[in-house]
Amino acid sequence: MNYYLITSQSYSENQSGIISFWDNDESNLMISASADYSYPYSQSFDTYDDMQSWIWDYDTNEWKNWDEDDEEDDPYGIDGPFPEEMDETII
Amino acid sequence: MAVKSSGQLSLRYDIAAEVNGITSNIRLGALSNTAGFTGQDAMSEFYGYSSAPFNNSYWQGRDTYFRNSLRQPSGNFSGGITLMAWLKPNNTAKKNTRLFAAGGSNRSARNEIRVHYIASLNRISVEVYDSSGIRRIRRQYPLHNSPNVAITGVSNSSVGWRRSQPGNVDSITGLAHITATWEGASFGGSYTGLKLYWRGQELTYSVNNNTTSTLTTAYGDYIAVRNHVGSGASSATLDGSTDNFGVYKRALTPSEVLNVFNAGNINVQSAANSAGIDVAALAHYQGFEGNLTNERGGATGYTLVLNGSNGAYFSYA
Repeated sequence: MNYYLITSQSYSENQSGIISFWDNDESNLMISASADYSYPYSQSFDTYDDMQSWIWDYDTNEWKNWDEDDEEDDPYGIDGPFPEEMDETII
Repeated sequence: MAVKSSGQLSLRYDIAAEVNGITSNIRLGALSNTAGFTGQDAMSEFYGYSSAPFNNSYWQGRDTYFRNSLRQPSGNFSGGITLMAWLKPNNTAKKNTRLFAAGGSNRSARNEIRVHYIASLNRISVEVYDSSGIRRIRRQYPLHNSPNVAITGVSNSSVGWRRSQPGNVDSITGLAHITATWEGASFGGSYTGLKLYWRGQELTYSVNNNTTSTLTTAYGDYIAVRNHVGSGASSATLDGSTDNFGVYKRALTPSEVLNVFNAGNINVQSAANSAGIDVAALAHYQGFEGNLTNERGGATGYTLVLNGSNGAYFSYA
């Protein structure tokens, strides 16, 4: 099964393929479909892993369009140092 | 806990305690019959015997998750909550991953507690949201920093939690046992009410800790594993294996979490019984034994539903 990046408009017009998931603003989505998928698409991937590797490429940061959970505002980075007063943060 | 595999056995304290827990009128023949042994009765038959149901299968999938589709109004967790599951990532690229959650809506973060892995920081984040869907309490646990790394085994933050670095896992089933607890509104808004455990051991080092003066309650209207409750499949839906998901209506103590883990990758009700936890506290358990009905239960009555199509049940054998 191949994966295709298509627009939401394309999906609403053709209703073809199986939806995997949408991007953050639901303007694009990933679908899985057979290799002979014939409708317009922006990009195709031979495997699920190929598709995920394209999204989670930390050089391009494509993932920021697909997962709004990530903590972009972390000022301390992956290894800190983390200030002690951070434990007392009040929202 | 299984009967020991060598040495002297007590009919009462070793064998009967494991088979059915009776304390009087104990007979070897009756215990052998209950355990399913045939032929001449002998205490040696019970070496290594476990009354826990064998765990045959698990779910492995991509962009698939499980959540109840009908709201469960009796699932208010005002007294706190525990979420746990056996998990293993199968993704080849480092990616964000949603583990499990409970909340008040399947369309928003309202009154939700969610647990998810942040790939860019190599942390598991445990978060509580208020009735407006605003995050109020949070702890983030770096998996690669000391002393957490000695427990998680996810040592390389660049590689992250993925197929090639699943961390410290069960030697038989290959999955890691992960548990999150929250003490609930009565504890107040301190982040210290949140705890995260890996293989039954608490991770004590957390960063980006947020405390709130706004009291909030996690609702149990919806529960989910492999995803948040408030959204559908995303690129962060767990790509990997899942087994024996459990939800308790209170925060288990550290010793209770350890005892549940020590019971092994078995259905959560059996693990709770083994740990001496009252069954009324177990809101839901799901064993993924070939379908969603073979091994499910709990005090609250959830019916989990598969969302998505990319996955299947696999056998450990």
